[in-house]
Amino acid sequence: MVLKVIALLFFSAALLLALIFGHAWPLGAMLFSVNAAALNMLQAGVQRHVSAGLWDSLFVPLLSVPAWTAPAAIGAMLVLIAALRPGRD
Amino acid sequence: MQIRTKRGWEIPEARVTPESLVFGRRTGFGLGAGLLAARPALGQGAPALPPAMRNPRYAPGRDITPEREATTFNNFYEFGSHKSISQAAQRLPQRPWTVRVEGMVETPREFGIEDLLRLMPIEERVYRLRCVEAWSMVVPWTGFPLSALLDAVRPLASARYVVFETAAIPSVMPGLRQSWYPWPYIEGCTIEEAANELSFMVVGAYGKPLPPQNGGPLRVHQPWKYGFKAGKSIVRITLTDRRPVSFWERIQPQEYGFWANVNPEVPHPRWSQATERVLGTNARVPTLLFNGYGEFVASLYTGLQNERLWA
Repeated sequence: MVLKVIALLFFSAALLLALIFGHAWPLGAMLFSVNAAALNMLQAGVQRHVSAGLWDSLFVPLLSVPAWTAPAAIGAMLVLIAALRPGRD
Repeated sequence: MQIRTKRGWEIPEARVTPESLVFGRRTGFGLGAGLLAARPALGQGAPALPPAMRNPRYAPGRDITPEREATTFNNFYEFGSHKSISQAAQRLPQRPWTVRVEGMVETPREFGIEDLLRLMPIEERVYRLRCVEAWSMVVPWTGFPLSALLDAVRPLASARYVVFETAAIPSVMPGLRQSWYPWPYIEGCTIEEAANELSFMVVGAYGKPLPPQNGGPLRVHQPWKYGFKAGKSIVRITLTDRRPVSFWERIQPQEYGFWANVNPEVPHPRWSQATERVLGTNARVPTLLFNGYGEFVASLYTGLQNERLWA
């Protein structure tokens, strides 16, 4: 029950994000508005010390998805976990 | 008894270069210039630069950085936040290229790069460049004073700032896919800083057209400021009465401010600025106030003690 309630909160957050900022607002833009410096340092760290290609091929596509999909995905994962643990709910 | 002190430029007669050798060298230069003109153009169709005399007024006091070092270790965020962007930057078309100079000016104008090469007083200056990341290089830049460009458009008396805008071409600049950054790259300075004799619009380096990874075909360089202040691949220059918020100031204002003058005594929040690594030698040398150009620019900042001049 607890997992489903938390999942519902995440779904609500996803809905609010989509309604307030638009369904296409990228995840990267959301993180940038929360902490631009941290996102910038993450990019510099990955590109300079791990792989420039990794940033371009993995991080950029990931950060380009709509922001609402992140809480929605977490909510879906929680629902799935709750469904797999029926006896404890 | 007359005591005669030899002046700096006086040398013994025996060290004077023979006339025949001088004319021989000129012949060699002529041949070299011909070969230069005949070689394939660099940077996707960029023609050779007009001849540029080196201005001896700005002696750098250090050896020139090897060209390979200066053209393969670059910051150009539109191509990535790492240093190895020189190959990717080759996709940036260098011709045709225009820069629009507008805003608070009497005669807004759009210049083709060839117009600038023809109209502006082209010269070579060897400047030091100090990056905020505590490395430096010395480059023979070819270009013209920014003041000459501003004279051509006649700034209004109300203009207080000059804003430089870098090209933003998503098809060749992968960094622009990160739509959350405040593109285009914007930098700026005061009108007084722009008018300072050191402010230089660069169209070449090492006697060749400025390569795209270094900001070709047109960039600005103000050698007493950290390198990020130098807008690259400029397409628009705007004169305004409002202080611009630059690209880095918008992202990390606590680390990168509007003035960003070099000062070894004011550390970056995450590292010291006391010394710098010299590209090409990897020697670590002390950083100088205003990057050693204080005699030219220190007076610009009198009365600005309340401003954050150093970061």
